[in-house]
Parts: sequence; C-alpha cells; structure tokens
Amino acid sequence: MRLVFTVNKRKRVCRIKGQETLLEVLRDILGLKGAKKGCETGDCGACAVIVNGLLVNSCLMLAIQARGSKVTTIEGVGSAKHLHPIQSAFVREGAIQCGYCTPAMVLAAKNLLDNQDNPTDDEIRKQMSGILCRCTGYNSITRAVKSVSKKRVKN
Amino acid sequence: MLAMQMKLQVFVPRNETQLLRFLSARKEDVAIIAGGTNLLPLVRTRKNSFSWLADASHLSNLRYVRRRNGKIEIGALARIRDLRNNTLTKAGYASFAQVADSFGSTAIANVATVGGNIAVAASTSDLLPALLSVDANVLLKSYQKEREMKLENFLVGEGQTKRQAGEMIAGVSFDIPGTRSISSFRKIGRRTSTFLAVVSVAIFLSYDRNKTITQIGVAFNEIKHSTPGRARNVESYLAGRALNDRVIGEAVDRLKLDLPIALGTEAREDYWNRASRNLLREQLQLCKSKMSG
Repeated sequence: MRLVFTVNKRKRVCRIKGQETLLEVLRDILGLKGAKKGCETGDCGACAVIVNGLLVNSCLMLAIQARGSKVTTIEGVGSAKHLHPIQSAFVREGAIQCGYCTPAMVLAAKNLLDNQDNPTDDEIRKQMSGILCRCTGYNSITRAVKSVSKKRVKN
Repeated sequence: MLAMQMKLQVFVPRNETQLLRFLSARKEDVAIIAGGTNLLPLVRTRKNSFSWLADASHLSNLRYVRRRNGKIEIGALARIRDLRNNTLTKAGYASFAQVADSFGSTAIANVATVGGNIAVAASTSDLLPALLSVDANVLLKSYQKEREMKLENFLVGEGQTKRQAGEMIAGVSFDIPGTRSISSFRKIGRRTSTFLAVVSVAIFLSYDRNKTITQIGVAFNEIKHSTPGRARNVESYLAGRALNDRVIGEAVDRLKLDLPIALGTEAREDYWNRASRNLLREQLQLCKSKMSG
C-alpha cells in the first residue's frame, strides 16, 4: 500500500504493508526511533505521537490510518543544539532518568500546552497518566511541565 | 509486530457503501477498524478469527453527535472525546461527559470510538452503562437493509452481541431529556489511565413538579451473565417515588436482586457487591441533592 502523510512538517511517501502500525513505519521505515515500542496494548504510552493535533498511541494505529495526516514525533520538537522549552524544563527539573518514556512525556506536555496556557497540576497529571514512568517519578515531570506554563503566562 | 499475522489484509473503503458491500461479501472474515484500541491488541495475541480488517476511520459521515427528530444521535465513529462538550451535555446528559472524562488516557479517548465500545460489548466498558441508562437504541446497517434494536437486547454476553455477519454498527440514538432530568456516571478502576472499570454505574432519571421519579434508568457494567445491563429491580422500586434517605436505602438493598450470578471468586463477588452498593448509594444521593438544588 502507498502511504502519503506529513511527518514533522515534511511530506513522506512510503510503501507499507496494510497491517503495519504507525509506530513500525515511523521507526523501521522512516528511522524515527524516538517513539518507543513498549507494551503494544496502549497501557504504557511510550509510543505516543501527535497526529493532527491529538495525542495518540502509535502502536494502536495502523499506518494506513494516518494517510493524509500531520504527524509530529519527538524528532520534530527542538533539536540537540536548541532544545524545546519543555525539553529544557525536563533537564532543569531532573525529570529524566532512563529516558524511555521521555519522548512521549514531552509530546504529551507539548500537546497539553499547545491547547491550554496554564493547566493545573491535576490537568497535567491527567494528560500524563497514560504514559508510564518507572524510574523518574511523576512529581518532577509535573513540576517541569508546570514551570513551562508559568513562564509562558509570565511572558 | 502485526506482521505476525501474515495473512491479515487491510481494505480501505472510499465510502460507506463500499464498506457495506465488502462486509456483505466477506461476512465473518472481516472486522472493522476505526479507533483500534481493542482490536489491535486482539490481533497481536492472535485471538482474532478474521483475516481482513476494513479501515473505517476516514468515513466522516459516521462521526457525529447531533439532535434530530426529538432524539440525540451519535454516530459509530464519534470519538469518546467528542462526548465531552457538545449537544449531549447541553441537553442534560452530563453522564456522557463524565464517561469521557474518566475514559482511560488522553491518547485512548482521542481515538476510541462509540461504535467500537459497543461492538466489544465488554463488562469493562464505561460507555455501555451510560447508554443503557438512557434506554438507547442501536442502529445496524448491512448492504441490504437497516435495522434498529434496543441496546439492552443487542448485548447478549461478555463480548457477544446480536450483530449479524455483514452488519456494522452505524450509531445509537435516544430521547432528548426533559428539563427535569438528571444523569450521572461513576466508576471504580485500578488505574485511572486505563479504561478498565471494575465497577461502574450510570443513572438517568426524570421527575415531576413534586419531585416524583417519572422515568429511571440504572445500569451497571456487570449485571447478570457478566454483561453490562440495567438493574431492573432497583428501577421498578424507584419509579413513582421521591428520593429520600429511606428510599435510597431500600433501593440499594434491592440491588442484591440484580447482582451478577457468577463473578468467579467469592472475594471478587464480595468486593463487587459492596462497591456497587456504595456507588449506587453515592450517585442516588447526588441525584437527590441535584433535585433539591
């Protein structure tokens, strides 16, 4: 099957198998390894990406379902030289240890802050609740997201 | 990788007619995929009996929440997130917003569909009790015909429905509530970000000037035969009465007549019984205070 979609603002055309998931196409065909393969049942959230402005688990979406869509992966957020403010906040607040969940966490935070200027702690935790972190702990992650929203409101 | 299902093929229909024609030709050898939150894990564990997936996710004509002919209609491809702020909550069906708010993670609620939730017919579904409490009808379409039936009759057991081969769930509908109506939903689950309710209850009631209940729907995620269903004994007791502490206490006691037959273990049954009684009491008290307010 032929898949045409936009990934990180770049048009991509891929030849895919019908049963391949968006996660598999992103990682194995496009080489975008930021989205992680975890449980593959939607429980861990490590594969989360943004599709047409909505956070989705890319392991639970067939790639063909993303035809014509705009997909944002962690590779489209900031760069090694110029971190996105959310990435900087994660570093500053110590919200990273093993880093496995971090791409999904950053994208979930971006998705929240793109739609809401000043979310409460509860709203942040609700947004992050679908992504499991097993080493950093959620307090520092919540703090990092909160610090970005506070800065935004100030500015 | 889904490639473990090497024989699994995907059909992408351009419109609803193409989809229905495909379903008609392939019958039980095809499953419709839209949200995929239940279906893809099933495929991964090779628990599927079909060799085709038909991708309905782009059929936007099946994605709606609207008022029409005195009814509220929800299309099969409406997402759970679509139930949050719309004509439903404005019409007085707050229970649907509560379902959407407590429905798993953001990423799941963003893609999970109403039709998928009905098709799965799971006792862990949040949406089914809410739909049962408002006495919803389900609309089924095949290439040759359309038919409508009560959701309560459509559900026959855990994961089992009366959907026939070649049919798809097109949507659900139910009456627009009167001005004196209240609805509520609450669930208990192990982790808020997963959509697996252990016990959930949805209540819908209408009342008259004297605050006497004129219409009542009380539905749980697990009634007899481990299927989402209505607590008919509780409902028949509450109909025609006004809510007060004594009536609520008696209604909660009647719940034992509606309880599941077998939940597996004694401990689980004990937990379910106590949790369901507490949830029912809490939600009826909430309804009572809303009626007073």
